[in-house]
Amino acid sequence: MKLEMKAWLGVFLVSIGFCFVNLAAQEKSIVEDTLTWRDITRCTSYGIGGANLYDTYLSPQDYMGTEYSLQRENQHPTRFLSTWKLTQQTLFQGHFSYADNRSEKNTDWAFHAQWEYILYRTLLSTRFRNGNTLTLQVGPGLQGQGGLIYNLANGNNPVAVKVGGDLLASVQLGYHFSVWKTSFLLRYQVTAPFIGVHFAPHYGASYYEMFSLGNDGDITSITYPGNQPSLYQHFSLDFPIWRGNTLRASYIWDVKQTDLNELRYHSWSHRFMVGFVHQFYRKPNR
Amino acid sequence: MSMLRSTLFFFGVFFSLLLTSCIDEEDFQDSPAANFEALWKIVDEQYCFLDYKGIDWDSVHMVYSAKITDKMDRYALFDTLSNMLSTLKDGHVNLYSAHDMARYWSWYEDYPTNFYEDLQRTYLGTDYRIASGIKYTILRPDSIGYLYCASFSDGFSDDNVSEALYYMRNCRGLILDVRSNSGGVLTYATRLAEHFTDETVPVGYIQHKAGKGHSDFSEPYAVDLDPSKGIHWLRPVVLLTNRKCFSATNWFVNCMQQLPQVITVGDRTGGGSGLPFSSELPNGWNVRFSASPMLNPKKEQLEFGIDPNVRVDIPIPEAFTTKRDAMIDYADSILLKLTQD
Repeated sequence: MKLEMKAWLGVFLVSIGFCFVNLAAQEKSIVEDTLTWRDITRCTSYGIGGANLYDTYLSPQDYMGTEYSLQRENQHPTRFLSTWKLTQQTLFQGHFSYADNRSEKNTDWAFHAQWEYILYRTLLSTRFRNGNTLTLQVGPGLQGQGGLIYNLANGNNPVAVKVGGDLLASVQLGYHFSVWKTSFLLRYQVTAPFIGVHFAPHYGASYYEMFSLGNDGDITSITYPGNQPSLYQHFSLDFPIWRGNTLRASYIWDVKQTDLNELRYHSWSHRFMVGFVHQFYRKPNR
Repeated sequence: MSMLRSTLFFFGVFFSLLLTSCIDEEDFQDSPAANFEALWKIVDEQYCFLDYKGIDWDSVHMVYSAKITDKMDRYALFDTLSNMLSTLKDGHVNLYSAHDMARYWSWYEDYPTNFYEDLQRTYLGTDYRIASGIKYTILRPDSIGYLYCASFSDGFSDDNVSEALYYMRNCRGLILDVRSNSGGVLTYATRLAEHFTDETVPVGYIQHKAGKGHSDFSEPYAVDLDPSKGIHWLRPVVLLTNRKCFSATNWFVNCMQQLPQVITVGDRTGGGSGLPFSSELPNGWNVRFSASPMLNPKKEQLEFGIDPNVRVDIPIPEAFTTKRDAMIDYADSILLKLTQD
């Protein structure tokens, strides 16, 4: 394992360790947490935004265009390790991008699906004099992702497949506030992969050689922030609209990047999403 | 609050470092010089035969960069880049623009054609059968079969090949003609060859660029020819080749040469043993180039073609008078001799 990789792994373990190991140092929550594992917050959002694709396996050029997205998020307190008051978030994202090169003479299509599971621990939960509350949560997670970029002009190298899994670190900051007796939730979430394994073809290896001729050994790479400096940032505002329905408006800045076997890739997107927030109560079995 | 501060510090440092890490394209502009540099760099880093062909690519840069000016129009730029690529002497290297396609076709243009449809018609007649892209007939009753594959770009199935071979089941030998088949899909080339063996046969190796250096290659990976589904033809075969047998057909000829019942007759193949990749320039022109060399079982390059076992040319213009194809006649004669023995 490279020294740089070890260093990143160390930072990850220390950070997570601070969150979960030292119970004695736990910050005392000022806000009494009234939610239980039966209270589920779910939101399905749909969005559109700008995409910027770059993959040197296909082309040394940037491709820019439009991205269409679907995102489904579930969040609720967990039952296990209940003394730690953990919150789990599952997040599914699906994207389709259509992008042209600068000369507008060629096109990339990109498909990407991603699933995440994040376990948050509340580090800070405080209520201000005006009744507004601020919550800070951090935690580790897992993600699995798959997708491809298809270049319409290339012959023997038309596709770059993206498959991998990572350990994540995430921070979530929530601010509940009221204006004119209407409550709002302003939220910021930042998530980044720490250590993972990704499909990584060799510099000039063709998919024909890997999959038709069977030379498929050593086609994965260990990823860490040095070769996968990716970052997902999500700003959202939840606000009631009509008859108790809550709308969520989000802006997401999603940066996926890898530099593996001298093949450089990025998928940058800025997207705006809208969805309804549903809150459920999971009934006990009778 | 020390715990909170410590945790936030570590997460803050981590996310801040990520925010400063950017994997972005190199800043190519769309100018004649930038397009020239982009093309030169693609070949420099990804083309697989620079060392094998003894090409000093840095010298090529010196020669051709001096010909690039900011005021040259796209036609002049295209011609200059085309000339630069022609120094690679590679039929798999092309530059595509809306107005032209740069190519190097000397691998067949400088040599005898050795294939004429008018002469082929003497043997094929008009009532031959067609199974997808494969034309076939029997030259003399219950004696010699003739199968012509003009391209590996058009797909055919194992059933197509098996039906053709079944039709010739009473023949003692087969003339397999791939002249002027300039390649296509390697999978189809292999699919046809697999009908001529009933056991796994090592046919060569493939490599790929493992890095940007001219000699950065992976270890050769052994490639085998496995028996197909369907009918296997194990009787004598004469494979006819000419200079226009290129790329996937070049590999097909290499595979067939590893089989004991096969004799190759005709002219040297055109070569083209580098599996091509594609890329592009800032102005949108596409470029194709050889990226992964394929080698024979002795780990020898096949880029400049494969010699036949027996060299035969079609005499011109006499052949047009007699309407005889000297290669088919020769194949017919040695198959008769082999099968009589």
